[in-house]
Amino acid sequence: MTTLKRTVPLGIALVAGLVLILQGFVPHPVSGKVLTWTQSWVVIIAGVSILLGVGSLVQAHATKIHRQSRGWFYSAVTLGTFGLTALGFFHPKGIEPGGPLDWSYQYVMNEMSATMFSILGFFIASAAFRAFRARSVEATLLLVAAVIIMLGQVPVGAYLPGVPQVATWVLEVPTTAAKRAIILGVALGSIATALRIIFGIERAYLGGSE
Amino acid sequence: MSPELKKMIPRWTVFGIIALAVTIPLVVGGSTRFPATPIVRGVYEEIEKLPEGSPILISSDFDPGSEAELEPMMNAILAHCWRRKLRVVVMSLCSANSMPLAEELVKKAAAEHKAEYGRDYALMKFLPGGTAPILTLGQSWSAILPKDYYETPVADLPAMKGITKLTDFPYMVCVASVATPDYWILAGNAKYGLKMGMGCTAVMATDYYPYISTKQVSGLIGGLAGAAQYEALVERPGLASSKMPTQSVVHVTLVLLILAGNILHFLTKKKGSAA
Repeated sequence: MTTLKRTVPLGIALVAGLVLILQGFVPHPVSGKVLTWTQSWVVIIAGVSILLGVGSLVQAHATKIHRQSRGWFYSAVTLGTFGLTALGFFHPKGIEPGGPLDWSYQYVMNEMSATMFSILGFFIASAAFRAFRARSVEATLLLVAAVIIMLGQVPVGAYLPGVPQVATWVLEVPTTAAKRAIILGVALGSIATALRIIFGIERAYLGGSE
Repeated sequence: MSPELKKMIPRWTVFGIIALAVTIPLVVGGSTRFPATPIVRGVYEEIEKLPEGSPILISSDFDPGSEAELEPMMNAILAHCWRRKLRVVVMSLCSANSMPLAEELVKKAAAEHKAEYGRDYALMKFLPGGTAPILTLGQSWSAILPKDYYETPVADLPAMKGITKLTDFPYMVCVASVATPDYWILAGNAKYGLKMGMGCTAVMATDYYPYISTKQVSGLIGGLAGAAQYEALVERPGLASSKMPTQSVVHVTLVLLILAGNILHFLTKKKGSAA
């Protein structure tokens, strides 16, 4: 069992990782074909992982309902609507326009997603009013930058001399510099993590305590 | 927040003020012309440079939650493409929900511009897997997208004529509410040299400024304000321009609320220390 659970996945990760790293440095048609072939696998695996996600969702919410944990009612709503949507697939009209899935997408999913996003605006306003305080030099800088960006990003800002120019400068110079540093840091971290996985040092993805 | 301040201005008052700031300008109506910044112009100018009949790829990577912010942007870009008589190919890397939405938006815009499916535009299927499908499309389009959204072989679509791989598109625009521009920059631009521009929600825009200075992204349309600027460029004031007065009022209201919060905070603090 250890072979199947540990050795085989570690071997797959090692071979796949090394082959794909080398592929990037080999400008040969065969190398291109290897990339196309392996990437098609990735797309298929990503598609299959949606099924795993569905299984995991059902299991997590069913357990919550069974144990009557806090908020179990919401889990029941989630599973109920999930089941209803799945049933809609078996309707003669299925996913066709006017069918139950199209209807639920147009009139439930669409509207509820938009509502959720709209509500966010109110909470951001409330949070900004209650928490955005000039308590220190850093907080004051953040507050001033936020005010300039907020005004510089709308037409009314054009009536305030210098505001659009300062807003553009904030976005193009300090923000870009900070963001570039973050991107470089994340990229180096990703390379280190990828190497750790390829060479079997990082094994958390296998599950268990290791 | 001090308890005194908490009593003075409850949360619902803030919600009420914001609700009024949103609804009053919407009821009053009107629209504001917003001159385009060079960053928004970067997308417009690349599309302007494309010869008539060129294909252009649009990755429609948003779902209904961001429709209000990104629909005007999609409309303006599509209007520009069809005015330039380009062949528009729309696909998605975002989620299974994004292609039905893209289909709805593109069909509506196509009817307005009398664009014909198959000839002037084509819809592809949603592709999961992040950078993986982009890398494959860079090698061979038909390897993972042999058929369109309606199961028609892509070889039968005049809109797809001459497209065998990703770089057969002289330009692409990614309109996103999730991190898919990262995939396009990493795999499409860095690996295959695909020329690209992008549009995204306002909250995401700052993340992509570094790629503009490196010229990996020719331009960026950020949020509703960016869409309003693009509408001004294509001389077609639409949804975004009509929402600019609302956005102006809401932003000013937010700034005033933040200032009021600070004044009240310092007043109560002063009062507390004096006592």
